[in-house]
Amino acid sequence: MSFAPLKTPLFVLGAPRSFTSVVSAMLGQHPEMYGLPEVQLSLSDTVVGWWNVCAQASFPMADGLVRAVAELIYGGQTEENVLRAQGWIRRRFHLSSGRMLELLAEAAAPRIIVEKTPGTVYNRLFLQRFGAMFPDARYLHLVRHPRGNAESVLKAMNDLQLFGAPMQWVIDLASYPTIEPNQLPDSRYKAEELDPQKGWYVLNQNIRSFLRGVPAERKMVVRGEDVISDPDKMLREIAGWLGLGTDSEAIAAMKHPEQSPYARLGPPGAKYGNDLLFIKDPALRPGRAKTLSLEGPLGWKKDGAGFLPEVKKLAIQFGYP
Amino acid sequence: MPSAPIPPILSVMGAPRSFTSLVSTMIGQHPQMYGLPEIQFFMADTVGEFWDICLLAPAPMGDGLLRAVAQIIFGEQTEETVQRARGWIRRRTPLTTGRMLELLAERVAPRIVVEKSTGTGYNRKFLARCGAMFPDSRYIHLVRHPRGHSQSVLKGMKEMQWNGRPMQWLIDLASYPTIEPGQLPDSRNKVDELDPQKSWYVLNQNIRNFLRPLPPERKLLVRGEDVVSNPDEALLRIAAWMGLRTDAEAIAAMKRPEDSPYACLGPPSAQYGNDGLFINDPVFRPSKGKAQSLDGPLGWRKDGAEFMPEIKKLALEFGYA
Repeated sequence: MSFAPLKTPLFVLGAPRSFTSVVSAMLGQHPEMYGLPEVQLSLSDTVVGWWNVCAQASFPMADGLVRAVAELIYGGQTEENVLRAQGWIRRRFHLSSGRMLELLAEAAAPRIIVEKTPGTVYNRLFLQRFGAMFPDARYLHLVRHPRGNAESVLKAMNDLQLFGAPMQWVIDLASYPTIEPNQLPDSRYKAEELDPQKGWYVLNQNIRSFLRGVPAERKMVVRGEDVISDPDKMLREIAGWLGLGTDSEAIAAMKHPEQSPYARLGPPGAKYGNDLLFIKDPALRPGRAKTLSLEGPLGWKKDGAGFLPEVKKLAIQFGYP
Repeated sequence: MPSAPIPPILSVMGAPRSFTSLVSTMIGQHPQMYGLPEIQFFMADTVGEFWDICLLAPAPMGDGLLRAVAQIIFGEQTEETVQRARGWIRRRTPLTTGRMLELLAERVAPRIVVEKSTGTGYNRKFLARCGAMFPDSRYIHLVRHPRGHSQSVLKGMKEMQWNGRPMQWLIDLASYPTIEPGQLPDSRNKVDELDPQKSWYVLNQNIRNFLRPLPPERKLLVRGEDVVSNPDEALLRIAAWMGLRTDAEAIAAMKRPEDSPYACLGPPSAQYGNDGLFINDPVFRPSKGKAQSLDGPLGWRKDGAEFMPEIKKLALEFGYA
């Protein structure tokens, strides 16, 4: 038995709190695409390595892949299929993480998979790993205004708590001490020094540096705000870029991210696997977001400082005024 | 497309010399099941590690897998297909042992694989590996009266010799120094101290502890003597519990273990893969057998001692008098 070569996957890259969950779920609802939950496979070379990373994570990181296997291989996310999916993954510990993603893609074929793992953009190695494993992949770089992103991060510190404390990845996002390339968060940072603009800069720069080596026809920069405020226009543009159907039926389907089998809590044993705020309220409510400015003081900085010049410059390149 | 998921497998767990070869082969002859030879997969995470263990084992431990691959993948067991099986396995050494078992299960589907590896019960790690790789398996815990078991171990030491010595695994079975949980054999024990009741206890306790958290519908306790003395009733109970056919034809097939392709010597370079005594005489002969007692002195003890209280208690729980 031979396999038809895999259709080129679409990777959505973006800093967390940049509409990545809702936009990926919307794209995944196109009749010719299949949106995965956060499978986190890019963080390791092998499935056993992925398992070990998940085992040490501060959140239930394995849930996305377990839910995807229950859905795609076993035909539905039930508690029993979650158990089966765990064994199915375990029996494939020897595989490369890319081969595991390819198995999911084969199961979803002929639909094209839409993969979104925010962790990928933290580290050049992660970006390069999937870049090497899927050399024909297409990339959608999803951006958000740095002010909106920073406000969303700080809001999530209150809204997304686990055991009464902000989730570590949210603290990390606000805890980049500098904007050096490939800078990592430092959560020994004092709370009053939290400044999410630095995380925004570093992560978007990681993506930009990686995409610099990718030919133009395989990458697209999309402002999340544009998708929310004018979904019809933007979704048609993205579908057209991917060479997929742009008929009104396809666009209408994409405006219902809540129809995704992953846009809700999963069964016991694999409840998460996506942004919790998105899972709680997955519907799209189009509306013109209030225009944010790159000028003026940052609400979270006591010294009244504005954006760093590098942050402004990059935001302008993304088309923010 | 990834292969269709396999139906949950059936693992027959039991201490060696507890009718495991006979009963698992009988179950495997049910028209909706497929009995594998003894493969001992759960001793290792990967096929490569498993193969290394086989090479070092004092008995020809790889024969079961060689015969199963020759039969299932190459269609028959001949010296030529065994050689091809060796290469086929060798080319798959990076696979997990669970994936290898799944590959065999995929080939015999929709029949349900009956897997019996007495080695699994020796070590909590092996049991846990089996549980993690096949989290939806069903289990038969096959037990035997501790007196019958002990006598069979001591008889086996005389009848099953390898290069003029009792086989190491039989010496081990008689050489557990204590009944501590997780105890391992210590064959430096003096021969006049051999007492198989301790391994009976430790191995059955290992299995019991492993099965304890599983829901009742996934486990069944079967007394081997009941199968031997009243096969129709016992086999019907097993088939019904599995949710499989219980008609006379199905039960009659189960009473012909000698029809299994593994119930005979294999080709010259993979002759075994199952209990040697069973292979020499696989025909099932129902026998009432005299009832054995938990009371009274143990023939193999010079000091006239009886069963230890823990052993009596556990045997009573298994329904022995």
